[in-house]
Amino acid sequence: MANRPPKLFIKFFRWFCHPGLQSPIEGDLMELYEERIKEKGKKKADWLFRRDVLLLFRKDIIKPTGGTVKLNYYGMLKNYFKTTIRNLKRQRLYAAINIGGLSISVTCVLLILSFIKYEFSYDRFLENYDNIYRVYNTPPSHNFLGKNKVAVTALPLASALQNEYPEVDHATAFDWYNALIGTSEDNLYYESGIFSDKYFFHVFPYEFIEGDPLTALQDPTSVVLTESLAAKIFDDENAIGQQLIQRNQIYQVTGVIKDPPKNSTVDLDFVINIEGRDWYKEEMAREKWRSNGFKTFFTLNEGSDVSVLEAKMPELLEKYWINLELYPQEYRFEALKDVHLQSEFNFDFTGKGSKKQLLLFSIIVLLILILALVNYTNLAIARSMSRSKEVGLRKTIGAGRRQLIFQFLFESTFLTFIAIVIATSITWISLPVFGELLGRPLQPEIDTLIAAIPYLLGLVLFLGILSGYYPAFLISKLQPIYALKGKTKGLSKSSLQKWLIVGQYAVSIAMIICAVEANQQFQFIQNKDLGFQKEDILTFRSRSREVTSNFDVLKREWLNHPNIKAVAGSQYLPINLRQRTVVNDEKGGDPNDDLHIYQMRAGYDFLDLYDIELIAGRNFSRELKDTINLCIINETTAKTMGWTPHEAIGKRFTEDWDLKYREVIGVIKDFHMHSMHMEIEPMFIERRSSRSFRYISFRINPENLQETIAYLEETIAPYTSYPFDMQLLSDQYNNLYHEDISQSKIFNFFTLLAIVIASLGLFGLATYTIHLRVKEVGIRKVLGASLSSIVSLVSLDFLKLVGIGFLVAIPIAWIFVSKWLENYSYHIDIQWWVFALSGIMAVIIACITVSTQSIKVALSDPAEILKDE
Amino acid sequence: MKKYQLGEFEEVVMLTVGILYENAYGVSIKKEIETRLNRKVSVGALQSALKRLEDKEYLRSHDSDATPERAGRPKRFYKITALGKKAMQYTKETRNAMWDSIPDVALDVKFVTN
Repeated sequence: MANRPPKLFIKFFRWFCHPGLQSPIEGDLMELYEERIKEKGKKKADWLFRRDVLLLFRKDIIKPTGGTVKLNYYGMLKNYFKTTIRNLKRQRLYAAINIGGLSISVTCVLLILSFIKYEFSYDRFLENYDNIYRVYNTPPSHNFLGKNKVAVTALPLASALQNEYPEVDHATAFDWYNALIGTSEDNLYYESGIFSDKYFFHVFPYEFIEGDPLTALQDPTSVVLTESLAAKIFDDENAIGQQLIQRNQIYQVTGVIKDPPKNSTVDLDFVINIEGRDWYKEEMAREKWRSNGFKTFFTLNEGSDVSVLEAKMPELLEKYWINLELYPQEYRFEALKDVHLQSEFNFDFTGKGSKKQLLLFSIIVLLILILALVNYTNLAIARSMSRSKEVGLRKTIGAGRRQLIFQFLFESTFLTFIAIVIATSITWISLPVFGELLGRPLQPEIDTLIAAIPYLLGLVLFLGILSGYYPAFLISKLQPIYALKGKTKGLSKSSLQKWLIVGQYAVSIAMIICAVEANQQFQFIQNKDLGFQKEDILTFRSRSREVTSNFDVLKREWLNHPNIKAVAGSQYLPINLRQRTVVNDEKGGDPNDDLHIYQMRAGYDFLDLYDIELIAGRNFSRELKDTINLCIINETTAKTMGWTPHEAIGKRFTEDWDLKYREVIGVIKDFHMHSMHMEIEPMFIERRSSRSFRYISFRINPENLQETIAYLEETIAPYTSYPFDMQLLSDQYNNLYHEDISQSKIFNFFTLLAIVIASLGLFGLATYTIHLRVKEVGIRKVLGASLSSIVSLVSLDFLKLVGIGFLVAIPIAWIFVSKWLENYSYHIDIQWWVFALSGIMAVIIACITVSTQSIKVALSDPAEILKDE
Repeated sequence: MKKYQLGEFEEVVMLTVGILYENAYGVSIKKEIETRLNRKVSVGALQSALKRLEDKEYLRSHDSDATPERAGRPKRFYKITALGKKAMQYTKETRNAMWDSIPDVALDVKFVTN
């Protein structure tokens, strides 16, 4: 037919219209429509048709909602709702256990999900985040500080990428560290800076408040500040055009950007152009590249394949790298969106996340959730006996099995709904605290909550069905004739229930074992002899030449202070050696004899201050007028070289680029130069003057610590503009394990929750089962059973289950603990008493849980119990 | 009292169905009312009135065979039932009775406009 009325409206009409009226009315509408087309044209007819349809949408014409069948359905829903509420009210304890357990576990799930979401939100604020890549270096056989990838590459790489590869849109090289910047030498701020070429904002399109992103860094004297730094330095003045000094050079502010959000890998306060610096020009002018010191990021042109470009890197290195045979390099790419969760890099950004950690937390949280679901299932099966009469009656008056299953699923879904509402509120409140524990600024946001509602409802449905399916299935199977007689064949003896308890306890006990073993390992780390003294030592991080070049003067002054016993300078602290070199017996010697060795420069008093024990040879000595080619090695070096400590004295070795030989004058006992995650490796100490010092260590008298620190600050302040960075060595030592400890705190918390949830479940089940045996207990008492025999009678069944759970937990925990301990090069052996202790703890908790109920029953008056029989 | 309830529009519809006799279906009733009373009637208003009247059993309906002019939809023809006739008569009588009860003076225009 040529003329059709508006499709949407005819559909709408057919949808709402009473089926009995539909076709004659539609006929009328069509007749009018045809007529109107002839009289008034199609457009007018369409409009009138629409109007007619809308006016038909009225009470008498709309079909009744769903007709008779559906009406019944709503009635049943209403009834299910009523039954559910009544049941919850009648059995408050079970309702509380179920809702409580579920809310706690869902809270954990939501917290972890918020954390995961945050971890995956890094750098997403950049509009082109999925088109930014970084270049990293993974030199074959490289292993430094336990990692084999390096986040830095050669400085000229960025311009080579941009100029020689059409696939690359823009590339930028930059360094990233905290530095002083300000308006004058007296007004300096210590902030996180990006030291970059002019293309930084081409690759990273930060939002500019003032200035042009494409030209702001064009000039070699330009600097761009964040909004907050600009406000800090210039108050309310306009920052643009103002002058700043950084490292004795004058810069001009050419742009102000919005503060980057916290979930940004590159945390920055200012971006400064370094193209004008001499070393930069020198490095860029080199024909061959010889060092990796800069982070290189680039954006890809549309339609280019990053893996194709990556495959061209060996060719590029071949062309530019100075000597690939001697110093093999391998440049690889990584997408910016993966950078935050990549923790395998040296010289990388700080504050990064870890996929492993996310995975670990997710698994634990999932386990806790399963524990709570198991509670529901278990309690529902137990309660099903008391529901059997209801089921029998429902079946007798015509309820089908499907309807019964639906009813019980409705109940479990309703319960999870309540639990999830509670969990969402708890999450809302506790998110900031949780974030603090993880070092992330997690804040509840109303937008996120609204966006999450469909998922939360999905979760309600999913958990409701998951927890309620088996009980529903079981209960609906009851034969009405038995159910009404109160016989619940096949219900009470459900072995699933027992296995679920075993599973719950296995998980909880395994978690207790892991938590205690981890705690033991941390104790071990605290108490292990490190090979040096870490107590009562203050260390000062010196960033300015002024302090170190006046070291000798200052030292004399410091030693006059009653609480300062010794002072020594060094390049690193004994806990954070970071420089490594390659040595050989002779220059150009067999590369197979090369030894990778950590190197540290220190002053005369270093070994004495730290109580590092010499086992052969001698210390550096002022009296003997030591030359600077003397060195002291550690025991491991001697062992690696195949020397005994005494043989080592007088031996010589050399660095490739250094003609001078180094001669060993002493061997020290090994000390832990990194965290316990890492092996003690070969190292040597060479004596240097104070100019090479980065740290000054003070052995102090712990009394009046604050006064001593204040005194030191006062004496150091005139020599430096940097913030006063003085810390206790023991704090820094603990900081090495900061992540491990905060992780274990969270783990301990989860363990506690797991055991609480499992105990709640056991408590509920025990209460119920004992309640069923009340009469039996009454009769036994009448016949003369003792209190203890009754308590053990009803408790023993449960303890058996906990025992089996313990047996299951042992191998699981053993695998996890030994895997975890492998993270540490120095670790405790798995301690079996921990297993035993955890098992006993679980049994005690279970005992307390069960006996509260069994004793209550055992103490009750048999006359009271039996009187209604 | 509430024995025969008939609204004003319903009464109009009943009367029109009577007038059209064998040919009273949606469109014809609508047109008849529109021409006779010179007022717009929407399909919705008419159909809901017809439905109500049918529910009260004042009207009954039967569907014709489908005709191609109406996109293959049947016409639903309406007829007045005996009950419907009684209702109409009752309404008419009560109105008449009321008319008769008005004193002549009340309608004397001379008095009213004084």
